[in-house]
Amino acid sequence: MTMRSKTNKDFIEDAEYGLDSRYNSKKDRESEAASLMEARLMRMKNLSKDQIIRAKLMQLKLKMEAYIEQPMYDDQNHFADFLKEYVDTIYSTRNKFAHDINITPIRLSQVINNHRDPKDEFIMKLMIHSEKVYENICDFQKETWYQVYFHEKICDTMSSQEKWRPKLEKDVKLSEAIEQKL
Amino acid sequence: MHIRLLTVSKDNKGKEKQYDGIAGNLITYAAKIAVKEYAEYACVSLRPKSKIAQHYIDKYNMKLTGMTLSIEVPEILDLINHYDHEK
Repeated sequence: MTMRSKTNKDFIEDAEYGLDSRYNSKKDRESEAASLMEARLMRMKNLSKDQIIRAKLMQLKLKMEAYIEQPMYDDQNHFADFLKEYVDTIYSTRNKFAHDINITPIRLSQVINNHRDPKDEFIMKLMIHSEKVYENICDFQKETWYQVYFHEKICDTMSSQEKWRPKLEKDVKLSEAIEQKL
Repeated sequence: MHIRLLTVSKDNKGKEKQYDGIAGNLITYAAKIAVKEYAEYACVSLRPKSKIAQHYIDKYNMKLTGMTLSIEVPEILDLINHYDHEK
């Protein structure tokens, strides 16, 4: 059996097959990491403000998508926190965002600080605003803000059953006629 | 974020491969995690054999530092958009 030596073309096909970039030693890894960090710091200095904003908006989108995909039972106000991140990434002041979506700064502050639920109109305006902002950044599903809002409501409701269920269960009954049918 | 090992099945290798772009999608998966965690500081690195480094530079727009290739902002955002649009 003869073995032919690998050509560059073979290596390129291997690139699609896989790569193994494990390091041979700790020293090797640390040395490469230090060089990479140095080069990255140089490149990061040249990032424009716009590029940073685009990265932050992509991050926000990915965080929202991840949140929607799994139930999360915690005390955090996810909708309000995502909204705060969105506004503070794009605007120098929150009042400017309130002006752009034609609501009062007080109403915005109440939603951001979770003192008041957003009205349908607020979320619809936010949906339109996000469509415009994300248009040239990445795909942003228009229903995302609604999904985050209702996902949080569902998670909150399901995780607080001990609080609301005992009282409400007394109010809910099946009439005899219905019970006989089942 | 450093990719230590990246591999696809034999069925998806070479000219007769069943699916195209598996390596690209795997790198994009790592890129999404990096951006989700680190925003403008996101970085995905790997260390290919020197003969195939140019392939990764050309195909994924990675940058070479020593023996390590990396992709950062803004190219990492383009990579994510490219593979998301191919879905």
